[in-house]
Amino acid sequence: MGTSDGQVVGITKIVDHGDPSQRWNLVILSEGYQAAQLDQFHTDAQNFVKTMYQTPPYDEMWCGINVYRIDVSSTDSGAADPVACGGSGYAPHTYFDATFCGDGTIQRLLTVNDGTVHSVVNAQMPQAHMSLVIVNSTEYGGSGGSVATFSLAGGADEIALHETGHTAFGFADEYCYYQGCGIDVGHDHYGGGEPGQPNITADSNRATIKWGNLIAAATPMPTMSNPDCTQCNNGANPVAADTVGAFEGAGYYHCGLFRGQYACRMRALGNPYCAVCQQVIRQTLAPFMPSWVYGTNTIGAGQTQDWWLWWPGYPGFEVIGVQAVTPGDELRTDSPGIQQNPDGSTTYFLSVINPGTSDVAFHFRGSAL
Amino acid sequence: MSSPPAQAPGPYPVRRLTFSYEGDQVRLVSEQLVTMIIPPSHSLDSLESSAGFAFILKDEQGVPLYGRVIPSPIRFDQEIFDKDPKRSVRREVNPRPKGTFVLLVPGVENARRLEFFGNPLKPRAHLESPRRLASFTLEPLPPR
Repeated sequence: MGTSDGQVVGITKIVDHGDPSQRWNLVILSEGYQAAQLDQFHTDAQNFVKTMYQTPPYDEMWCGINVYRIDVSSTDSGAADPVACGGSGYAPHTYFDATFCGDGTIQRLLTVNDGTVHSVVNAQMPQAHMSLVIVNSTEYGGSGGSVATFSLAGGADEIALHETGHTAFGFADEYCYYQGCGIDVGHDHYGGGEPGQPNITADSNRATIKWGNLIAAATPMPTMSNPDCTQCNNGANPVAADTVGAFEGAGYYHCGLFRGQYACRMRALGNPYCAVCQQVIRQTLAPFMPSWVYGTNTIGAGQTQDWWLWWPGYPGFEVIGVQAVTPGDELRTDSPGIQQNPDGSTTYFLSVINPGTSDVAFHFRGSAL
Repeated sequence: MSSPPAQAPGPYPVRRLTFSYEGDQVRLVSEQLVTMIIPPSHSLDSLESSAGFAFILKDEQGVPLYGRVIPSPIRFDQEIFDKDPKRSVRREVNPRPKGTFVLLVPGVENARRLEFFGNPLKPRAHLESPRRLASFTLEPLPPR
């Protein structure tokens, strides 16, 4: 089992925004792909890249990100499926020893040997900031930690986005239970100190809360309280969906910890990152953004502008992106798109949104290979 | 206020530190010196007392140079994912905490120690007071 069950074939840069010493570098590794299946891995990696690019705020920070694909072949295909968790007993020989039922009891816990993953990444791409492993199985599963692992099942790429929030940006979980609502004991009231993570807090004071710059003056604080701390609060959002405030219930506790928005990818899969998380992602990735700016424009308060960029080729995931001239000014993007034209050229689309109450000057970014 | 020293804007030497752990025993197993950019330091004011997990790079006098808050890489519990939208994600205690992780810190010449702070290294310790969890001596950097 392990590294004798395959080999590292090579590394390929699949999103190239420049010298890896200056960019935030994501590495995607294959697991459970036989040598003849690596073309499929190339497609699977590219599909994840597309998903990530279409996930705000990575779209607007894309010029600061490189993505590398490390092809690792395995003797057998797929991942182990132990009978201990009701699986088939399939026990393939794969390079990173991927297995469902990674803890011996929970089927959907799909794990790999993270020591082997780090050995490969340290050797192949020591400037990596984050490593993801795609496991060649259509059964739903994944896991987090220092290496995020996910399968090819529909929706499993959400696991990778959630875990990237943890590993790369230090986000806490925003769900208000540990094992589950109605199951937990001892998760009614949080009585610990202020969490260090940027997206949860014990402080619902407008003047001192971590993400106070995102809270409108008219938003009530706390914005949503839990009336029964013995239960998860699954009540309806009392404010508009995009309102940032202090919503009680986060960090595995029903009460005493707050999150910034009603819904967030760090609370439940399938949601966008909330505005608080998006702000942290922008701040973290800002040092990696190239300095090449196509131009500068200003967008009025509450306005949306639609932009497009035509490029005479198909160089990969080149993008248009925007960044506020003044750090901290809020700017959002929406509806990113890439269209490969019949003549071989590419058109990129992006909507720029200013949700604030003041005009915002922004750089219009792009880069060519 | 103790703010982190400003980092150079461009690529600079970075220590890529690989750790292994089994239970609460953590070991620094390898180190690489690479040229790259890493995310900026978090404010060093309250890192040692924050709930959660933080790593702090210090000089010989114990002065913090760089630090970041991250989810604990020493996994006494693990996240479980489900297709059920009402319970798409949850936590379970990890019966066999064992693994490997990598941390990136600036390769500054006066750095001597890397320390971990946070809730105790055991399952479901969210409410217990943060403390120093581990300390590692860093070898001097090779002459440039």
